[in-house]
Amino acid sequence: MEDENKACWQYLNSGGIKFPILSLLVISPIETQSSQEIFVRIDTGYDGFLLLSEEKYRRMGFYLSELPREYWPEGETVTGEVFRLRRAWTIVEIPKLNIRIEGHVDTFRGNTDDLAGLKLIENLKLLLDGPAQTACIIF
Amino acid sequence: MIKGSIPKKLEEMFRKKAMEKYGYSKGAISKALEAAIRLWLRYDYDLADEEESNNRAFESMKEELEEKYQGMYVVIADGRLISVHKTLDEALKVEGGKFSHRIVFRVGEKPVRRVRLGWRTKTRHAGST
Repeated sequence: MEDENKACWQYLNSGGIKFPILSLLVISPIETQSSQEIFVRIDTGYDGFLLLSEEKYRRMGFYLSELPREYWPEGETVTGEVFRLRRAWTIVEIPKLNIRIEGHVDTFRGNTDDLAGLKLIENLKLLLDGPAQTACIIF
Repeated sequence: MIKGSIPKKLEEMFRKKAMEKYGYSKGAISKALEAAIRLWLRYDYDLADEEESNNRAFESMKEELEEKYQGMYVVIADGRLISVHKTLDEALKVEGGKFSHRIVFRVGEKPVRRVRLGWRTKTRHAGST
């Protein structure tokens, strides 16, 4: 669902609730492994750039681009739980729109969510079209 | 059997909270203690040897890096400085296959202490509640 000036994705239905999502090409630091297109939920409650599941973080080799441990922040859930995140460098691309953004990818023990946070979306013009159930990046 | 001592005030708060949560029964303190230990164990990461070695190397050279390479990306692996780059792209392409862990750091970057994790992010169950 794309034209010259925008790329759009249908909201994702998860457990009866529909979420706006984006598709990102996440660049892996492993040379031999192809980078992966990942659907991420847009979450304005997440302060960071990109949160990936623990499994994707490991499989895509982000142990090869990690920040020093003293630069790993604590993560805090809305219920007040606090624990350590792992944090690495990544580059995300939206090839259709020729967008390429550098930022940090986070994960934590047991995480299964993939989220685009405030640090990522501050680089984008986003249109959340509720009636059409689409999230679009406008270029 | 775990034995130890904690400050009196903290013990009082812990006992009060345990009773509120698990009721005024004999096992309440044990249940609360188990949940607290599970949470503590989950809080942080233990580093593998190579990760530890790379982090020690970073700490030992941090001041020197800040003097010489402000704004550059440095790659640390195998417990030593491997290379310095102007761009993240270049830094990510360095000798990926040789190491099981690398540090990539932009010199001068300021740490973020805490990150909010999102409206719906959940953690795995930490124990009996």
